[in-house]
Amino acid sequence: MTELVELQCRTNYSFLTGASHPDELVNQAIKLGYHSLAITDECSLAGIVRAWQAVQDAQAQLNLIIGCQLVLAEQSYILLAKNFAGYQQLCRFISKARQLGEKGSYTWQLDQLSDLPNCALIWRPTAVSLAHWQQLNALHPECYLGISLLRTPGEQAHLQALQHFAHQQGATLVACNDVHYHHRSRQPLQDCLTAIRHRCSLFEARPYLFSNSERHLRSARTLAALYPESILQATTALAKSCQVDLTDVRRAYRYPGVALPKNMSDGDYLRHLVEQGAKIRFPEGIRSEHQALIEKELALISELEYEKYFLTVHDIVRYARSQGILCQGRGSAANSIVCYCLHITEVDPRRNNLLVERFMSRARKEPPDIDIDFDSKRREEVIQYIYRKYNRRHTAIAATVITYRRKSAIRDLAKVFDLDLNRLEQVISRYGMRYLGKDWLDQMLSDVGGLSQQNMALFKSLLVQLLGFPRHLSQHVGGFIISEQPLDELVPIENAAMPDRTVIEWDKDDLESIGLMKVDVLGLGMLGAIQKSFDLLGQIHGKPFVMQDIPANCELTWQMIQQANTVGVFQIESRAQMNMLPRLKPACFYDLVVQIAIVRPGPIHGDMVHPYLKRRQGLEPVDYPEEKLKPVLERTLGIPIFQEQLLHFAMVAADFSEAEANRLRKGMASWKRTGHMLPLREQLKEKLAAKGYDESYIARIDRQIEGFGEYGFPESHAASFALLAWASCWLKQHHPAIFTVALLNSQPMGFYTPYQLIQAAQHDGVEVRPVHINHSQWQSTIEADEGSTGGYAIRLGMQQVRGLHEARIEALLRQRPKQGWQSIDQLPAVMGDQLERLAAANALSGLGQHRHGDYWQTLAIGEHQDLLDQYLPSTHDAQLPQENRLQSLQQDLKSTGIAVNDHPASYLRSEHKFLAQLPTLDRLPSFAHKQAVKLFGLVTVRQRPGTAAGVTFVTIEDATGVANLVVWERTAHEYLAVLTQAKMLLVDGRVDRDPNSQVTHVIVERLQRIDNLLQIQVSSHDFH
Amino acid sequence: MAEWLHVHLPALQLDSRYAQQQPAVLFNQADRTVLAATRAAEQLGIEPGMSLSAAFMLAEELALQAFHQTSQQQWLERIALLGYRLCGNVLVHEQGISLRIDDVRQLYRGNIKPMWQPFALWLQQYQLRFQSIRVQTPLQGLLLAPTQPLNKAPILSSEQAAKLLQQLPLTQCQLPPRTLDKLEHSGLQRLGELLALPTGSVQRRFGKWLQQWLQDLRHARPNEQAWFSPKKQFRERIELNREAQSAAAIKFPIRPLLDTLETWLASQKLCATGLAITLLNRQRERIQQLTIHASTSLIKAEEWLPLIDLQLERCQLNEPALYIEFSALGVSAQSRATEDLFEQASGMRPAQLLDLLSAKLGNEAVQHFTGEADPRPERACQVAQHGMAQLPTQHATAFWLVPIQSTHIEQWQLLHHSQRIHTGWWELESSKRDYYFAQHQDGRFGWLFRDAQGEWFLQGYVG
Repeated sequence: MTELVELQCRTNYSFLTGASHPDELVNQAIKLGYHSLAITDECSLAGIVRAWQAVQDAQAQLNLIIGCQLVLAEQSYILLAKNFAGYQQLCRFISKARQLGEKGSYTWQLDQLSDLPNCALIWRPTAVSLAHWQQLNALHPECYLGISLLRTPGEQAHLQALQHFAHQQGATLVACNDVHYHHRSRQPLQDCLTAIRHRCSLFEARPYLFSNSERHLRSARTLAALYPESILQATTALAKSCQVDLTDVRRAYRYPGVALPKNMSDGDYLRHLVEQGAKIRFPEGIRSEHQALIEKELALISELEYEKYFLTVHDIVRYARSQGILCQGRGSAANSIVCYCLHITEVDPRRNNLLVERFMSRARKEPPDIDIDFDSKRREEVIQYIYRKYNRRHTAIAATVITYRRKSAIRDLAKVFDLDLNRLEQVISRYGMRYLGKDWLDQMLSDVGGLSQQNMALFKSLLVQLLGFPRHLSQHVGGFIISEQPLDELVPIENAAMPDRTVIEWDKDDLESIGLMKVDVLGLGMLGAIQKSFDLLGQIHGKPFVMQDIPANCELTWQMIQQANTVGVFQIESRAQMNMLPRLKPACFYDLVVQIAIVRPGPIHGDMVHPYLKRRQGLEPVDYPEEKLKPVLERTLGIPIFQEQLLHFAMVAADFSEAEANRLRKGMASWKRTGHMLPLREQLKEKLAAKGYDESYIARIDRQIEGFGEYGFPESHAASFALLAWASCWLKQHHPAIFTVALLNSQPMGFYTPYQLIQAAQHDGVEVRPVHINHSQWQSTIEADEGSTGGYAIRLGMQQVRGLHEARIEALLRQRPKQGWQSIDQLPAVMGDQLERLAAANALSGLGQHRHGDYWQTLAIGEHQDLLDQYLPSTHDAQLPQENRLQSLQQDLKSTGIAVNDHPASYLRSEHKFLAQLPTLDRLPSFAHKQAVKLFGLVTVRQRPGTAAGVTFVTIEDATGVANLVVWERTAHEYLAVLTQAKMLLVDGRVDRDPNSQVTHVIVERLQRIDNLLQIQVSSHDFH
Repeated sequence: MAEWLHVHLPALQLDSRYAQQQPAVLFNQADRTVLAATRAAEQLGIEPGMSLSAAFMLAEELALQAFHQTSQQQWLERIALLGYRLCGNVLVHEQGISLRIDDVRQLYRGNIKPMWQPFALWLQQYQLRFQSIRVQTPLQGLLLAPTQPLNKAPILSSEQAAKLLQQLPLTQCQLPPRTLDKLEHSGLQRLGELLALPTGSVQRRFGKWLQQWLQDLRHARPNEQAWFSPKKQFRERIELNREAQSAAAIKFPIRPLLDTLETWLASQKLCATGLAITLLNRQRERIQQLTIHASTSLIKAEEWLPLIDLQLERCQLNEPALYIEFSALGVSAQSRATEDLFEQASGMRPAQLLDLLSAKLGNEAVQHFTGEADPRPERACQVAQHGMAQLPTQHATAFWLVPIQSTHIEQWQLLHHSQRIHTGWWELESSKRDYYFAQHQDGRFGWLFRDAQGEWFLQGYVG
């Protein structure tokens, strides 16, 4: 009895070749009544989990065969795993071939086939060769001959030849249909992918295109008409003999253990560590409700057998702590009392009302989710520890699937359609500056030109299909998979672009589906800055300073936050966050959690921000759409703000099951990537409507879901971030010099440039001292100064000087006399132009005549001149002009990017009468609402957030403060050149003040560029 | 004292293609930055050094011209050729030319106007923006010409220019960025300040090269100049502003080529008996070739024009042309007698011979095989008239193809299915065909297909 089966099928994980998603192939196979479907991507299992998940979701009886296809010396082969041992052999084989080849390709040899005894081998000859067949049979115990009947010329003769050969040799002939897409309608897309793969237009790609659309999943009737019954029977028999279930991977997977004390099980040891930690965390003794929470969490961990996972995470964190690397766990599982006791997180469950249900889910059967942030500059040390401890063969990083997004898809299809690419870039740039209407694509394509009406429709339809298609595998930022057995027995591993790094072929969603556990080892610059602040405080106080030394509450710090004096702190430093702070006025830890989560696309798109603020200010009563939603929404005044709340909302208000809510979460995450609308979103809307929710509320919830797709922010992450935000704010308030030094020494990081950080510190009353050869170290340092806020001044480090090399400068500093150098003549020669650069930055001030003279003198010290040049007239032979104020400012900014003692705006004010008459920016609050105002300043930030319809925000500064400008779209277009290019702006506008928060903006009416008055090099933070 | 006339052409490739009223930029393909802009683009705020994406934001409709070194060189050589007719010593730079005029100035009794005017007229005729100055060394010209007003005759004497040099900001001296940095850090802002420094002091800090540069600024090194000389053969290629759809549309762009040819011939006292004009498509494939022959040797553009007009009237473009290649045939010294047709033909390339045959017998009489990479037999194997694009035949077929014709299936007995073709989705209607071998009532074996509508067609015969 023949069954409908397919033994050769590529998904779109055979990049730029296969033209259907794995789930599309599976669903089509189910629809057509297939009994078996082999997924055989080219030397890859990257698409297999998605296919397997599709079978699970459909709850179908489809036998999913795991295999791959290979090419060697123009011969084509298919390997199919017959059982789990075969699957493991296949994983090892692919890993080896991938690791031997260049990234994105593979290398193998025929004799490796003998390593695959539990796989079936199908050879698809173009012409039969007895010698080759005999060679294959010598290497492999189960060989088949494969034939593809795709209605191409000459294939009947080929069939006859193969049948004859099979009969003579006693070989079995099976059907392989070389499937490239689920339905023939995907032929155009497959042709386009072929052109993209060959990097040419469709016209040029025509020699490579298939002559028909037969490479799809065909019906039983079609196959029966094409193939002799005997071949179909043999094919069915082979398919039936291949039985591998991916759940076996989960069963086989064992999480590595840690060394256990004698007579202790994993559970015992975990309990022991938690109890030890609890004594430190709760020195006053643990309260009964917290003890009960610990018991509940430990019981759940034990029930789900996750003890080893928690022990491993604890082990990694313990190592980092032992090396003085600050770290912080986040994620739903991280913010639990167990993790608090294990020092995985510092988020105190007493300060945060996280519920145990959000800790881990029994129903979801998914592994716990813990991300750990480490100081980004020291993360590599932790990674190396993991490799050392758990062995390279047992450790790998998860993949990230790079997929087609809007711009990349448009660009590649434009090449296929042979459009004018320069013109396209021009149009794309222009559209980047505008807000996209519904028919943006039509407009864009007509602007590019070169497409007929019919081809425009084709282009659009292909674009929709191509969005979300995988392009290649990349390395996840830090998702580690660790296994007790070698990982290549569970999943293929390939080389990452980075040397000595290997990635598994599955991404985080695949891992979640299969149930493999992942620990995210991530880098966070702010942790480094906080650690550096702690180190400095430790040096001052003579004892280590740790996170717990920061008080949970501090009135002065809350005031600073409410006044939005947050330049340089974590998370709440952007322009949008700073605008929100005086409105939301955070006054406790949970307010900070909300503050961090509310300025995100989700709540903003969902129009949830203003209702929340109104309720917080008491201008609107707190109520709930339904009383049963009170527990879900109570903590955010009845307004959904966090991603978890929205999911919980779906469960309570729309009767979503936990599994459905989970699918909604996953859908949100992939919505932006795939561009596919989520059926569950529609389901949610329908259910809410049926329950009588009003239309506008449903629309807001829907927009919020869409917004979370762009950047979802769960409460557990916000809580971890809030803790770091609080720590950084407290440091800024109480130790501004130390905090600024720590930030300067952790660059590059954060939103602001070193110059802006220094300006902010100076506004806070901190004395900042320039780089000097006799006083500075490589990094910035603090110097005791009672006149400076916090009792310390900042001494800029030599690393602020552009072009200096750390090793050369450290060598120079080792030679520095105790009393410093007295003249330039005493300076030792340093390799390269290091002394020149120091002189240009005025770091030799006092050692010579003046900056120009010092520089001229150092030019003669260098070793880059001709040997004989040293006999030429020497150092003091030229009279060079002393620098004026403008030159000093220009050279400071050019050499270090920082002007410590001057500001470009102050200089202009002193030089130009018309500017001197204008108010300084610190006087802005004295202007009345709607009063006309004329200002000028240096542009520091330009932003066009996608959430602010058509508005450009610009920040300008002078030596006294900053002004926030709002440029409406019409004005922006009128002054586009000035708005996008100017470094120094002269602004006419009107003051706009919010009566509640007193937040002041200037609504711009006219802009003028005044850069020509001052030739300076200052960078602004533009459109990020 | 030597004297030079320097002409700076800041936007040669841009001006030669776009009118100043149209927003357009010349850009560097490597870093996608603007090198030059038309006046209209400048008025929108676009300036050299700006990134292309910033320029796109400022101009709704911005035409683009990528910088091509070869094209720049060709234009400069054309202009140098013009200068060469006026004076023998010409230097070609990256963005302009220098003419040594102290010798020829004597011919014009110290007045350079008679020499300058035809030159300026030529530049204006092609709407090329220029800046000019009289200087004592070519390097002075390179530095000072960009500071002069656009499209004006030189107004300063070379002595005045030398004084101007003292005030020139170092930032405009085209010094390497690192050197400029060093000079700025030393507090030097103007060229005069650098020139005033002791020689040894400069050399010690910057090496010999800067010292040499300063020397070159003061005195030219005549022996080391790479003087321009006209090339031995006349062969030019230009890119059109937009694809020419008809032969008439190439008439205007050919005119400057004829002018340059005239200058080239005249400068060397040569004449020519023919022209080869090749039209190329976007992929730089030859789509048409015109050969113009004159019964006597010609020099002037005006003499060639009627001949070309006549050829163009007869010529039909099969596909749009974007490039023109232009070369002179039968070039000889002006005094030499013209060779006859047969002598010319003996040295001809096959393509030229085909052109002659085609001209004599008509295009329809000369045919060649061609084909497309397309599974449809009628496209894979075609016979085309001479002059049409010639592509390699990709899918040769063993059948004798006939023009596709509807057929009555009742007259055929189907033997077996041959193949399925499904392609051409990018055309108005895609082709979906099932092919069969069949035998006709009259015994002939044919190759038929059925289309998606179920209609039958005869594609060819077997054997």
